Amino acid sequence: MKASDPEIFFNTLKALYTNSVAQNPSTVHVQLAEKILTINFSRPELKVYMLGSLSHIRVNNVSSSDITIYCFDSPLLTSFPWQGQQYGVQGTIEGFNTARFQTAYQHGSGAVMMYDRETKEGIYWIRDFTDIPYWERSFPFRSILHWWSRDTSYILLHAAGIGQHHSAALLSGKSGSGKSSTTLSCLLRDDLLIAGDDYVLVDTATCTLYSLYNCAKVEWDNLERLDFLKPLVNTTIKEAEKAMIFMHEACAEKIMQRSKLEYAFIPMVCKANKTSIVKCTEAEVLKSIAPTTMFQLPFGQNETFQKCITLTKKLRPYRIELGTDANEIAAAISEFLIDKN
Amino acid sequence: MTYTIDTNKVVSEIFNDEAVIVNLASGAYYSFKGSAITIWQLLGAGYSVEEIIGQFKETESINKFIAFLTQENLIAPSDAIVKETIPFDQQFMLPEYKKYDDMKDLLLLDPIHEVDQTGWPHKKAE
Repeated sequence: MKASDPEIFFNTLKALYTNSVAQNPSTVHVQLAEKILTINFSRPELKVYMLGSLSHIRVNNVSSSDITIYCFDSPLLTSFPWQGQQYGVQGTIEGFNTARFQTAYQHGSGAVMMYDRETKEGIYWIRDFTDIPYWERSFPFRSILHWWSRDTSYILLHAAGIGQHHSAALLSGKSGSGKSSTTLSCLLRDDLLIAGDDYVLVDTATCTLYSLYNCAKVEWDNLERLDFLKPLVNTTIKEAEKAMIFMHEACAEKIMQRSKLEYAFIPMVCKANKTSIVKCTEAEVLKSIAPTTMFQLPFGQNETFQKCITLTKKLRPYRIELGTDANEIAAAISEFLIDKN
Repeated sequence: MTYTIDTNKVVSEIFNDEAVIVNLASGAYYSFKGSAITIWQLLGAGYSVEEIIGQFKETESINKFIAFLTQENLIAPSDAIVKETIPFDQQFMLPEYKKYDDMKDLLLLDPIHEVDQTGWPHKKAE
């Protein structure tokens, strides 16, 4: 059988990877929910650059992998096998996305990401790793992990995850809704933990929340109001539009690796004196989690929507009307979870 | 006149008091309430506009709603004569529908690029 264009290009990239690891390869394993992700970096510098947000779920002594990613930089790729008119929205490449292969180009950095659904292998290639944008470090390989999740009951959800060891809630909302500051207010309470600030992994079959990325981001302006975060901010990433907190470095004890997911909270900035958590509808939850997840990640929008529906129907929906004081917000969440359990 | 909903391009979920509809091509999503939910279900089942108007004994707001659905590319005219009879609440409530387009920017986020002979995209000159 004649190899398809995406298959040929995938094999070209894999051969380039093999070529570029002659010096100093570096392999790490990551606990991806109940599965194992193996990442092969072509050189240690790349690993250091890309692994920070996944460092809390690294594991050793692994016998087999469920998904493998090859991450490398190389100047040897000098042309793409597609034409200009093949670039689509979200970096998709027409003709290079088949039932088996997914391909996307990352505008800005020039990275190319591919995934083979048959072998469960992903490739992240960039000409020079210093071109990788700072925000990619907060959620590395998210497109590849999204493509992998399509064939599982997992969903890479664009939402925060907070809670306690026995019970957790999703926090989902538009930019400016108070999602990040609500999430980070959980750092103020010993009994509250954070699974993720931007993306979390959820098993829609078991309603289990898993931490994936430990990096939290907050607007620089909000640091004045949330001054307890200042000592936690990574000050080495100067170019970031948002302050970045790698929780595994700054406050590892606050990371919740997994928990039973029971609630969906939709934050709403009310500037009230007191934070209130009130019932809302399932439709409100679906509107807050589905479109943002579907359109942040390339491909699989229909499946993502169906998974969001499944999840929405398993969660108890609430709106969290936010007061202005972070301590009080955290206390309200803590009291709610204790009261409900 | 009958319409069809292309479920490869438009996905929806109906809850008790609200339907959530997403246009996969444009990134817009919608909330339908009142009889907008039932009209959406009936159109999807193959009922004609005339039948729907006849069932509810209401013309203006139904036509206006269907014009909105057409304008948003959520439905397209169809010659199909297959109709699935479905039970529905015949009490008419003014169709309420709201469009959210905050995802549009995500789909437009990719800058328009020019591509050189080797396929490398680069930002178009302002």
